[in-house]
Amino acid sequence: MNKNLSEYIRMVLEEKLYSKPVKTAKKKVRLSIIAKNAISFGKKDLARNFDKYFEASLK
Amino acid sequence: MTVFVDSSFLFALFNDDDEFYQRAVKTVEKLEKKTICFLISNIVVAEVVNLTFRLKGAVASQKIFSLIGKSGIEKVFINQEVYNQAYKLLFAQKSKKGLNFFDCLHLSTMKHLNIERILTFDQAFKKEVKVIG
Repeated sequence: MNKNLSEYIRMVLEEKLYSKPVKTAKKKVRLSIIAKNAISFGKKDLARNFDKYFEASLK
Repeated sequence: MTVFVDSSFLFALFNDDDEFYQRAVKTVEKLEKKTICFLISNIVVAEVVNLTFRLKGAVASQKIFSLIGKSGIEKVFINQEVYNQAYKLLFAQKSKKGLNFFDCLHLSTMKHLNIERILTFDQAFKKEVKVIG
């Protein structure tokens, strides 16, 4: 998994920032669509302990 | 105003079991009424999709990947300069319990794009930028 992630990072590094973000929203962003389609992970501390879970997922 | 969105905040939105789910929903509803540009990087997407894949499998991770796209959030790809700066930020820390390399990538992306605010539940960012969450 580490190798795959490293390869992925190397791949994306070969690309350049395609654009700088605009300072104001140019289109309607609906982050709430994510919340409306939320799924159950069965864990209540995923956000608080994200780094811990993420690092464990790489092992 | 542009706000960077990190993986912990996205997970609070994705996961309706999360203790911060309601808090994240209220924050988003409040911010969506304003003229704000939400921004993520390809590294945030990679973190979220990878962890979802490990916890819930391919179907769930593909659903989340698709939802990020449908949300209309702006995504940037990090470049070599951002990547190199992230290492400098990582090595400049005195404690090994500070920001990890991926957090430094987010911080480096923000600095590169002059973004001052981040939506996160990771308290370690408080020392560096303005935290919303």
